[in-house]
Amino acid sequence: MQFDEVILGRRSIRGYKPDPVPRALIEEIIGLAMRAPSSMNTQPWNFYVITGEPLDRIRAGNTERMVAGVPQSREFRQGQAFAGQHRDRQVGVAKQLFSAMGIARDDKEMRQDWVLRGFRQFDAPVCVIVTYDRVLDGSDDTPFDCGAVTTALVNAAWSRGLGTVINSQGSCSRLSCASTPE
Amino acid sequence: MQSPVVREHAGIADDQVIMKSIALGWPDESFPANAVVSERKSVEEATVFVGFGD
Repeated sequence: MQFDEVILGRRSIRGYKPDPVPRALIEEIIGLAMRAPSSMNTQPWNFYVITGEPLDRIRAGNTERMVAGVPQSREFRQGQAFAGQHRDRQVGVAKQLFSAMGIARDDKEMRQDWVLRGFRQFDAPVCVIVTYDRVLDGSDDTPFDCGAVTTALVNAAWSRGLGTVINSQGSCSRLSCASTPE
Repeated sequence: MQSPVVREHAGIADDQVIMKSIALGWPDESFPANAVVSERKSVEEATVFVGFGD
């Protein structure tokens, strides 16, 4: 696949076939992704690639805490709620998604179902958790570099016919991570 | 600051900070949301060119 085809063709994938993904293919994709540049070549990133039972336990645990109303917990900083053009874009893509899924604006149940899907990693057969070395905590270079490797990873996956969606819900435990527009 | 569920079940070491997760798999082409292409602002909107002289 040519570069333009990958970049222009890639979309976030939120519905997956149950078929497993071979470990060798994931290794290839991570190897490609790690050609991404990083600050001073520090390569602060690491990956936990999860499938099968452990992933099912994460889905169940996330869902359980979400339904029980346990406050969210994520390990990276979040700014204030989106406003203005950023909020408009957030609402814009949510409208596109809800429209595609036939979820009505006032259908609370279906909207909740959609949010829960996010916490289940959209039932994908594999979840890649991107982590970084804690000794680098506090540097903005580090999350920036993780973004670079993640972008490379999702495009490498797409070039091999695999879909991805980058999400926070799968690695935190509760709602406001996934707040959907009113 | 914690993502206890993921940390526990994936056995994530204490010396690692969890950044984001990426769901990965073969796309189900019949899933409607997979057809959604999100919009992008224009290059003009995003970019300031300096010293180009045009």
